[in-house]
Amino acid sequence: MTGLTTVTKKDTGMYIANVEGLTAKLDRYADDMLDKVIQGLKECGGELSAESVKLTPVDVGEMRSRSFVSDVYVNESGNLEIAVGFERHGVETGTVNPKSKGVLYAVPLHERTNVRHKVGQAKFLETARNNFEREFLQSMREYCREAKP
Amino acid sequence: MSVGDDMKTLLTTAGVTANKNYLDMSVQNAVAIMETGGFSPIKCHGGHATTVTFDRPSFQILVHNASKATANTVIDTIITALDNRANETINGHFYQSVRMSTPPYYLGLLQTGAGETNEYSINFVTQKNR
Repeated sequence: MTGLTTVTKKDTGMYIANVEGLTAKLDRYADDMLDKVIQGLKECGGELSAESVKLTPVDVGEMRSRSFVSDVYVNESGNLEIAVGFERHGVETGTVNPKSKGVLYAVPLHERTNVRHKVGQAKFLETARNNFEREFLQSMREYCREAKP
Repeated sequence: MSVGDDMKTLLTTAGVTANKNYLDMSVQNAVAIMETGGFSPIKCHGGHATTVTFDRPSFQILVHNASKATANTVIDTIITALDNRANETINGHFYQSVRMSTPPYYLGLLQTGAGETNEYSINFVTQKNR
């Protein structure tokens, strides 16, 4: 039969027919998986950003408008990553530089848990991440399932 | 007792005086353990009558000190006392892990009732039996 990959076990060993077809299928699977993971990361990143903005204090005025979601990039460990945060500095190059001047404003606002806000709260990004951890994992799982050949 | 109480016990043993969920703004040098929620619990359904729940609370340590050098010493003591703990009973609660999730942040200078002070934040995550 042509077009089908078959594995046959015989007394003298294992035979695989249509190896080219199998290889092509696996290549396509790898491409599809990469596309789906990138798509999933973008969706989760966007949702995380939207949820964290809802929790961001407004008493200082402009922080809500400073949220960002980076492009998907490959980190130092070789894994795909997406950065979600406030005050974009250095994300364009694939790394968030915590020493950048503007970040000094977002970090204290996020970390000062002893400060009360009329609207919003400290830990606005961390809380959103923690609340939606399971949904994000589920969503990524769904995307990976869609990539199956 | 909450995670804050348990961590306060460890800090007291290490010689660090800390308040739970309260940062004294009338003095320059203070340490506070702020309970910051955490991750949703893990439930393991081990049988028809048993469900084991692991809570995953997080907490934050806020350090105020007028001297940056002293603040660093206090931070080192706190990290040594709390980070990388595993499979340990603290105040009768069994913790699978206590670990630092973010290194110390310098949050800048802050005005207190007694004058200007340096503020630092360190975050921790835990996992414990309910």
